[in-house]
Amino acid sequence: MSTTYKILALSEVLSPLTHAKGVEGNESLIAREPVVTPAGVRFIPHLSGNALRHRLVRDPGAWFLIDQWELSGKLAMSQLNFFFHGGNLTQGGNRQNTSRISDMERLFPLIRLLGGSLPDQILSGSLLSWRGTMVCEENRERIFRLAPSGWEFRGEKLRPAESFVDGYQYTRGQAATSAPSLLPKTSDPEEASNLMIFSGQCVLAGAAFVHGFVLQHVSDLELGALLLSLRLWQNAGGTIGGQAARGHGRLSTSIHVDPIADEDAAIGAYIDHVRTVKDEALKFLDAVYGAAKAEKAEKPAKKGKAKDATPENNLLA
Amino acid sequence: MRPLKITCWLNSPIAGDPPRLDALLEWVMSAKMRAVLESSNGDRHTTGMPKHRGQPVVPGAIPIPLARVRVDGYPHTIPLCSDPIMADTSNDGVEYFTRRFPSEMSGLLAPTERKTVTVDSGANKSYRLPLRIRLVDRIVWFCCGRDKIDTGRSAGTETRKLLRKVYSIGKKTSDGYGQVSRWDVELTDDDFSWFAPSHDGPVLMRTLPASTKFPDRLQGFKRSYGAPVAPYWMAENYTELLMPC
Repeated sequence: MSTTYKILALSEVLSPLTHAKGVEGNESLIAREPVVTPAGVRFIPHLSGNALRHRLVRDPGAWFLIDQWELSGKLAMSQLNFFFHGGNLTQGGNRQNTSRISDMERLFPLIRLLGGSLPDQILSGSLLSWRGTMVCEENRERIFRLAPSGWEFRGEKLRPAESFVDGYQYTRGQAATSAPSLLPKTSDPEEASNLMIFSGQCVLAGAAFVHGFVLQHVSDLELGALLLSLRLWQNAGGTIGGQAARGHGRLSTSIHVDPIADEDAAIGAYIDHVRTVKDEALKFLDAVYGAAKAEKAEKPAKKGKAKDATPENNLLA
Repeated sequence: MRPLKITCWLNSPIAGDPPRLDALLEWVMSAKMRAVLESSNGDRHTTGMPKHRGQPVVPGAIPIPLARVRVDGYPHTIPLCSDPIMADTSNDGVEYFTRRFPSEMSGLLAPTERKTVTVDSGANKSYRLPLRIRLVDRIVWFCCGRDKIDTGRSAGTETRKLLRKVYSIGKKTSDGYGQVSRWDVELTDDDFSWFAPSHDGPVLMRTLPASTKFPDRLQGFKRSYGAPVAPYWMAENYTELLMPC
C-alpha cells in the first residue's frame, strides 16, 4: 500500500554559497525571495526548489542508474535527455499507450518519483521539493510552520538574513605573466592583458537552510530512490549553486523522515530492484527512445588512394 | 446545506493562478476511486492496466463533500463553491524556469551520437520561461457542504480531512511554489458561494454558465468562454460563461 512521506532537511552551509540569480554590473547576485515580515516585504536569500530537486535527486539518481547499467558511452541523445531531464515530447498524436506507461513506472521508480516524458506522453511525478528557507529572523514564522507538530524550538532571537550575506572576489590569471618562459620568443611582450577581476554576493559559511520533500502516495522503491540519491549527493561533496569547482556551495544535510521508515531497507530494496530489472529496462530504453546507432565498419582503403599514414599526417597514430 | 469558509495558509509564493476548491477536492478523491486503486495497488501511479479504460468520467461523478446544483441550459451539476479569493498581494513578480542541454555529459553518449546539436529548436531546445509569482499569505473559498456524507462525518470535517492531503497549490508545486502550511475550515452563517451582497447589488463569486438565472443588478463579472465544472481544462465542458473580475 502507498504512503505519503514528508522529509524535512536542515542544510548547514560549509563554504560560501553562490546560488545566483542575475547580475548587477560585473557583480553576480544571489537568489532572493520576497518574504512578508512585520516590518514589510524583505528579500531573503533562498535556494530554489528546482535546483534542490535536480542537484539532490535527479542528477545523483541518474548517475547511479548509468553506473549500475554500465551505460556510459552507450547512450543515445534522447536517452541522455530522459535520464537528466526526464525526456522530451518528440512525437505528435493523441494516443496513449497505457501498457508502455505502466512499464516505465514499474522499471524506473526514480522517474515515477520525479516525473518524465515518453516521446508521446508527459507523466507527472510524486515528488514535491520545497524551496530552501534560510534560518533567520525574517523567516522565523515560516520555519516554525514547516516543522512537524510537536517539535519545540528553544527560541532566542535569530540573526537577520543580511548578517549571512557577504561577497567574494577572484582574479582570472594571465598565463603571460605566470609562465612567460613557455611562450615563444616571437610573442609580443606588449600584448594587452586579459587579467580580470570578478566578484559577487555569497551566503556565508555557517548559515543554514530548512528544506524538504513530500513524496505523495509512493511505494518503498520511490522512497529508496530518493534516500539513495540524497546519500550519493552528500557523499560526493553535497554542493548546490555555482562555482562548486572553486569549493563553493558545500552543504552538510541532515534529514528527518516522517513517518519514520527503515531507510537502509528502502535503499536496499531500490538497489535490488535496479539490478533485477536491468535487462528489461535497457530493452525498454532502446525500444522507446531508440538505441544509439551502431558504429559503421571501416571500409578498406581503395588501392592506390590510401593516405600516407605517417605520424605527421595522422596525429592520433 | 452548511455554508463554509475555507482558508489556505501559504508558506511560499504561489506560481500561476490558485485552483478552484472543487477541483482540488476531486483530485484528492480521485486517488480513492475504485478504478484507480485497482490499477495502481493504491500507489499514486498506475502499475497495471486501468480497468476503467474507455469509460469517460462524467463531470460531477467524483463524490466531494460540497453540494452541487443544476442550472438552466447546462448539462452538468455545478458545485456551490466560490472562485478562489486571494488576500492582498504583497509582491507580484516574475521568476524563470530554465533548461539547457547538458553538454558536459557528452561523454556518456555513444560515439555515433556525438555530433553537433541544435539548442534553439527541437528536442534539445534550451529555454528560459517566465512564471508569474505572487506572494500572498492566504487564499479563501466560500462554499456549501452537503447535508449527507457517505462517511457519516459532517461536510466540514470531511472537507478538512481531504484537504490535509493537499500539500501545495498552483503551478510548479514540485519546485516548492504554493506550499501550504495550514488549512482552516470554518462554519459561516451566510452562503457566499455564488453571490455576495453589496450596496450596488449582488457580486458574482463563481464562474457560472451564462445561461444561469442571475439575480438583478449583478455586479463584478465579465463574459468569457470555458468550463464551469471540473475538469476545467476539458474542452467538451466549455460553454459561454460569466466570471468574477
